[in-house]
Amino acid sequence: MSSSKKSSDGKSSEIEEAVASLTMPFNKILLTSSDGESFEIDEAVARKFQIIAHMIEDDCAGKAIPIDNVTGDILSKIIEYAKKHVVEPDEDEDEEAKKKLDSWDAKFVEKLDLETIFKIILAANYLNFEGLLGFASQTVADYIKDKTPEEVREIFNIENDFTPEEEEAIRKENAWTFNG
Amino acid sequence: MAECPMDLINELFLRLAATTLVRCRAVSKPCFSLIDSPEFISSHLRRRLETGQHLMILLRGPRLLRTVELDSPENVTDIPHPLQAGGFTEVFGSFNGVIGLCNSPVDIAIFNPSTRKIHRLPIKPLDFPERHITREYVFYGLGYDSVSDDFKVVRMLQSKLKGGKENFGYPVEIKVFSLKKNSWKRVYLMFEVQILFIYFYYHLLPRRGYGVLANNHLHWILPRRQGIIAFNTIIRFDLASDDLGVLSFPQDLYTEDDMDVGVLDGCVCLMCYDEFSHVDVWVLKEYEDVKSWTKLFRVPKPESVESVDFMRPLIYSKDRSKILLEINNAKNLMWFDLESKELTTVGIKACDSSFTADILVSSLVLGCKGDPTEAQRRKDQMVPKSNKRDGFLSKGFKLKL
Repeated sequence: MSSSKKSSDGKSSEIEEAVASLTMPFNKILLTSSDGESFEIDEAVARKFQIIAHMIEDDCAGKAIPIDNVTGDILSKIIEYAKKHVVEPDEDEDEEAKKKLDSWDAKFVEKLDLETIFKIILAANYLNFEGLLGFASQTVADYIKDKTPEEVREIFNIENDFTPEEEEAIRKENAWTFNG
Repeated sequence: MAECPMDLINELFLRLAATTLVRCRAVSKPCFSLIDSPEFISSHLRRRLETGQHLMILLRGPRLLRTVELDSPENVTDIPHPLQAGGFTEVFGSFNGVIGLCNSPVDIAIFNPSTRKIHRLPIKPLDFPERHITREYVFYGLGYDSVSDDFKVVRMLQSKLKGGKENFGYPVEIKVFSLKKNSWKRVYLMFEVQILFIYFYYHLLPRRGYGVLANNHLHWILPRRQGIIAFNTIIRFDLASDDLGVLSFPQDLYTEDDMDVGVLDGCVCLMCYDEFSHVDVWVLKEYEDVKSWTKLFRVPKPESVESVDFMRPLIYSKDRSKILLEINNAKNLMWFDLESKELTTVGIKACDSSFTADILVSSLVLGCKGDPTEAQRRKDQMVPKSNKRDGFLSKGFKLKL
């Protein structure tokens, strides 16, 4: 999660200094995609990806971290989203900010085709970026809610492993929901 | 595109409404197994309850059921009554997506409107001859026992013929059905509860005979009647122990003339009517602490109705500033603003006063296998006719006309 930027004014104990240096937001981290694209981002943004946050905690994060499972185009989109969501506005305290962010999210996903959103879900899952995973999953869920089984198969590239008789039996069980 | 891994499909499916998932069973064998698995059904239910997503208003009409999305009241789905028998099917209870249906005390079922799975209860005869009971003296309750993870249906009947075996009062019969055991059981009353039935209770509005589920108990009101029954009593059925007892409430309300019991946010509540003026709602904040009964709010009678005969709070709005109320019937579903005290009608198309309302959760509870008797009927229709004569005739002998 993003680190707090507050530093105590006045008293500056040794412990507080140490903590401040560990969580200093001005550290940069370099992420390299599977196809060699590099992205320099603030540590606070990188911490949105839990696997990186854990690496930083465990002190195994060097300055450059390879992200083997994600291509550059997808990684750049994920970073774009992460940057916008470094600080999540509180719905109760700042309704205006929340609305603005929701609107940005909607526009962000509107421009993407389904295959890209899909890759983003897989990547967000790998990086353990819960916020984006939830948002993208919900977007896809909303997209498929009125789809037929054939359409769902196509979208997720799922093989139809039923025999015609088996499929017929399932459709008959709930004929009311299968049109025609 | 590479095939989507099942754990991601799982995460996506957890976000879908139950009606969509019924369709997704036909996508592939892994999807079918996933959606039918008890673990997924539990997770899906838990997700629905946590997020409050896909909540519906269930409109119960004489000939059909109608579900309305709480967040988008223009999305409406009609469901024909599965237990139709030419008469008026009653609908009682709503828990985790399951409702109770009955045509008569011996024709009862539980039903999930999202998956259209129906479970018909085995017939349990009545102790009393039919002429000794009428609709007004029958109480039903759909409950869920969280201790044994079991749905239960309670049926209570009071005979209008005084005397009987106990030789006092109007005999009462209480039986409870357990879904896990798929069988009924008789409930024996303690004397302290039995004596309540010295009086004869009837509900002019059949709905008042439906039990209210809260804190693992079903509650009914035994109303007072001027000159005949001095005090109101709230009886409660413990779904874990299968015992009937009494719930304490503020003494001031013992002689209220018009009172109903309901549930709001999992807490028992009482509605006290001043039919031409207002309704007061009291809530039991801590179930075992009678001192925690609190008068929560007063609802003024809306201008659009002549009198308030029946009111039920259904659910809080997401920001908890409003409560959805049903006033008399589903035609008057209104959001009550707790601060401004204003009432705003939820406009649902083609919803008249013949409908009543409840909140319904979108769930897969009871599974997706639809109507088992319907399946049997289809099977029977498909059995080939083993008529030897037909077979003989069909083999190359054609009738020349």
